[in-house]
Amino acid sequence: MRKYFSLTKTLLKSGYQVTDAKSKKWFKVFLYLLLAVCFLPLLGVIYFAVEAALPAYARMDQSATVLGSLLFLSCIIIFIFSLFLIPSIFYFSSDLDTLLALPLKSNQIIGAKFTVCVLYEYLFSASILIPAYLAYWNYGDMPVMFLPFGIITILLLPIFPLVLSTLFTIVLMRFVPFFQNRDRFNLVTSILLVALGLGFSIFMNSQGTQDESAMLKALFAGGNSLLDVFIKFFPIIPYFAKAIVEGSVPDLFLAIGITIIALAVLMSAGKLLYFKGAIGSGESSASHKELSERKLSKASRKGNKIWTYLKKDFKVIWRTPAYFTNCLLMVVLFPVMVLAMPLLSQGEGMEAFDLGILIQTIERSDEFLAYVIFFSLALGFLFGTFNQIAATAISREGAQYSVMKYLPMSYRDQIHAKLLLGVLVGLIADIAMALSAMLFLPFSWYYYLIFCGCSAITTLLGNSYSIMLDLAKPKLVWEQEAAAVKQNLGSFIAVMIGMALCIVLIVVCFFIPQAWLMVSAFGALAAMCILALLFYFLAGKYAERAMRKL
Amino acid sequence: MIEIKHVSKVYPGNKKAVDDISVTINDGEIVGFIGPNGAGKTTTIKMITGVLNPNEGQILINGIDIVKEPLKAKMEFGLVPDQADIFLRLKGIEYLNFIADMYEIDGSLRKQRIAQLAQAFEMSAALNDKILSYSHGMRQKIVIMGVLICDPRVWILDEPMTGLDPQSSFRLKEKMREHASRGNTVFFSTHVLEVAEKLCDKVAIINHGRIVFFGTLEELKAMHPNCTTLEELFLEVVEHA
Repeated sequence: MRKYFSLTKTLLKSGYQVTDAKSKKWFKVFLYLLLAVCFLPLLGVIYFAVEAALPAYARMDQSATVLGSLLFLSCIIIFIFSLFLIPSIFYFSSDLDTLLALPLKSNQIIGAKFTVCVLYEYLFSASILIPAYLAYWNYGDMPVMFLPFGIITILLLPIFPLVLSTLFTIVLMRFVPFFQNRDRFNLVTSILLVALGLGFSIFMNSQGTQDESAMLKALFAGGNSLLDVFIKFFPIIPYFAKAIVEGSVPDLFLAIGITIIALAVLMSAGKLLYFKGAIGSGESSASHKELSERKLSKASRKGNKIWTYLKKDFKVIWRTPAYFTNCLLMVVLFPVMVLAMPLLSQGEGMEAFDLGILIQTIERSDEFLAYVIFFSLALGFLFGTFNQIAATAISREGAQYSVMKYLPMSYRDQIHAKLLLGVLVGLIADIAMALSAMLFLPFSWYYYLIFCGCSAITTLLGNSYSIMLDLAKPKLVWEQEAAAVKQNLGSFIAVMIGMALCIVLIVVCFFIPQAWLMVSAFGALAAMCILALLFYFLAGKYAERAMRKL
Repeated sequence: MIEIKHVSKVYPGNKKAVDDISVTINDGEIVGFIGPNGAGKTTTIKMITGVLNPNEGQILINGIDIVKEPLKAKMEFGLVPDQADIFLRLKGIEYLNFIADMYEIDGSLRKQRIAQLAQAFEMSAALNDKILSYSHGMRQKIVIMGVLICDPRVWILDEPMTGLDPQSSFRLKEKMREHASRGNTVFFSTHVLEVAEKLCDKVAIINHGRIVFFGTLEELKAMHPNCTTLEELFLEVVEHA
């Protein structure tokens, strides 16, 4: 046990950090406070949603169902996120070679790593469940054991979904050698998860129509019978929910029992399979094929510096799964989501009216062009910043940022090359979005052209301010590439600003008096053009100063 | 030519990593940079290459100030850094062409050099693979090739022999001699004293951020006649500096 505790402590100390190792303590405290403030709206939404739903469900003796839904939400979030987390911690972490060489049992390594994962997941479960508990408490009539059982649930809830994803990973890594390559694993898993998400959404939609009568029957049966819906996903949910809301001790013991059995299964599987899968998991393959004369000639052509630099950055993003999923997959995802929208909303009255006639009527209105301009500018911010390419441009360099400093290329040109890659990917997203929307929203083609043109301007602006934010405080100290994009406060702020500007532009255009709408739209367009050029120029200028300080 | 004039570097927390050093490496010379761990070797190299700015003093590369005209100065040298884990997701050939584009090397010339160097360093079969799949020594070789392809007048190499196999180490030393004999400058840091003895025209020994000796090994031996081996000589200079 001493080895297990010592290893857990070491792993925790060398684990995840939002800031880099150089950041001062006050800055870290400030960042955590800022993150907490950012989470407040989410906590508020959960609180008010539970408060609003509780009376109706309570009247039908289904009050635990509301809590069950939130437990389900926590479990599903933990499960999905851990599908990426578990392989990187258990199989692809840089400490693995050292740990495998130490006199440790597989269960000690699995136990310590699993404990670290569980501790990380408490943030999720606590931020979802605490506001729900508050809403229940305020609603009143809660059992005496509400609070202790609630705390036990927060502590134990992440274990079951984590056991599922760990078992899935351990079995996969042992029996499917294809996945032993970290890049392939992350890439395939990411694409599968997107497909899974869409599939799940379609499945839930179809469930809504198919099982309506069964659901109604369960709803009116009372006794929190609706909770049984969750059993097929996570069997612990009904027991934990009933234990908290009804103060039921047997239900709590049942939930704890299932959790212990899950842990025992994981430990047994780990004992049998972990070492066999972990040894050699960091290896990468090579073709050892000599370049032909023709390929060598083709590859050796002299190129423009900025274009070469941009291509280099693109290749790095394309070939690094963590960057690919966070920076490029969105380009594929947006149009797919747009195409999936009519599919998902079938049966909700869309066929009740003719879309073509509606669009013709909208197009004929005098203000339509103004709305197109406003919406295009707004969406340009969203697509420009969502890919995070500019917002993580320096952070992605990590410890190798010094290469930027000794290359014979000006900082301004390097930053512009990085920025232009973000703009290019943002533009591809804009165009892909327009093309996919054209398939079911038959507006005149030139409106789509206007959309692409206007959104390009704010895409440039979004990327310019994003790269300036990253230049100001890049996250250069990280162990896994994913940390450069996923645990990067600067890029999070850049995306939030992009979303806020998008929302502001859309909301504002609805408050402008009709007589001023067209003038305002062209005014906004002109202002964005000036700002985009200004920020593009400033980004280059700021790069010279910021890079010298790094 | 590299001219380091009264250069100092103080890190945050008032730690003086480099303290008023002055060294001139002339054209046609190979100079080895030796010192214990943490003596200030890498900090000095980082300042010469513009990765760090000195707090005091001036560094000139072929007469160009690295702080005032960084871009022009950077075109004059090629660097092999101490960490060869650079651009791991690029293929070897892509890395070489990226570097060649940065130094504006003509297409046909770079093609010829890539072919020659790939053969010399036995990397022909690896160029089409990602650097990520390379061993430590192969990563070191590809970074060295990146410098040799661009053939700048000044070569700066931080521990270039680390991880190299004997053949590649031999080839590199040969290339360094050849480069210096053409009137160019080679400055490299090393812990291997035998390499410094066989290859260098002069050595600079640094300890606690100060240059404690700069000159030929013969001069050093003459100053310490009691020392019979290179290790003894090195320890004597470092411990009694």
